[in-house]
Amino acid sequence: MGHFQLTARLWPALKMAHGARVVNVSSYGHQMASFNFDDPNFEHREYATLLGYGQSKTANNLFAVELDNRSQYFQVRAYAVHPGSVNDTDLGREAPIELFKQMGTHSDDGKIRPEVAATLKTIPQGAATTVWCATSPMLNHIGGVYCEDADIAELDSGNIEHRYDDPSSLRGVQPYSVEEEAAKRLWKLSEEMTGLSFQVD
Amino acid sequence: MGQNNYQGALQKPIGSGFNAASTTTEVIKGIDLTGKIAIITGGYAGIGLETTKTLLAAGATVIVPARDINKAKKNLAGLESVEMASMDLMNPASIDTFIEKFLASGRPLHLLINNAGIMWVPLLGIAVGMNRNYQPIIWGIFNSLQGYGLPSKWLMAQG
Repeated sequence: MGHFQLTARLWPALKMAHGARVVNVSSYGHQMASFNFDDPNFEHREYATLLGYGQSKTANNLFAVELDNRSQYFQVRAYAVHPGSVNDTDLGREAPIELFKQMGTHSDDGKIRPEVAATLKTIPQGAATTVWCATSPMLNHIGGVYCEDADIAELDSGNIEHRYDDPSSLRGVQPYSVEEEAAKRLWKLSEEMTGLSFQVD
Repeated sequence: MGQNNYQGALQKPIGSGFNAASTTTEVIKGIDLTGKIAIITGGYAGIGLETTKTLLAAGATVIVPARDINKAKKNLAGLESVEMASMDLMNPASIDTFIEKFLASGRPLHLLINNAGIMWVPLLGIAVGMNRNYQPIIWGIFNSLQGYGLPSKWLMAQG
């Protein structure tokens, strides 16, 4: 919701740029859940992190789709990005190292195992898709898309085999996270929840 | 009249020439951002910091709103054309304060990178899910470890 508020209120400045871009950092995690409009805040069902995370990522994608649809007439384009599975971000420091060791990803000295690290992206690789969406001339006339590996991702209509032992197979975008009705509905819900009217004009 | 991406109409790779191994240096090559203004949430850590550095190097002015301004100052020390300001995405009033200041400067905004915040959701989930079952813990740890994406063997272990 914070990013919706930020984008909505920055709209005059985005419009003024005559060719601005908005990039929402999302994730393959959107594959875990569609957006539940009946209970977006888990008030009537048990909170499950998998679902909460997936739902929030799907919301990122839907927001990019609808924002782009509304704003492209003002030369503002929007994108959603899956950075990939990235090693060594700042976040690891927040979690207890004992758990990583228990999972087998880290050795006793607290370092990530080389065979695990080898399947992950480095930080410059992880940020590449964001930078590509923000700057590439190849996207001058295209927007509202979900991107990964510095290209537009393929629609996942059940044609992609997701193998959890191979991170490179974790790709594609779920149809529910680019769906028109859901995108419009989420926009309305975001306006209600933030108390903001985001009129793109 | 442009096209929209409803139902994934535009979800087809365009043969960008890049792949999973491509880096920020490769994708920014030949692009000049002189005179462009960017706001990057969470632009002081992890892939956000890398994004900040890359856009700065291409000539942009980058504004980094930060929940932890001291950490931002430390991580962005020595970089030119970067501006820092306090903002907490969980606090709507602080977002408004940040925006009002930016809008008052009268500048256009060429790039808005909504990068921050989302990764804290799974971390929050660790606390919430701790007594429920093991799954949220695994999920949360994975995300805090790798930032984004799905666990591979851990997901399999969950069955």
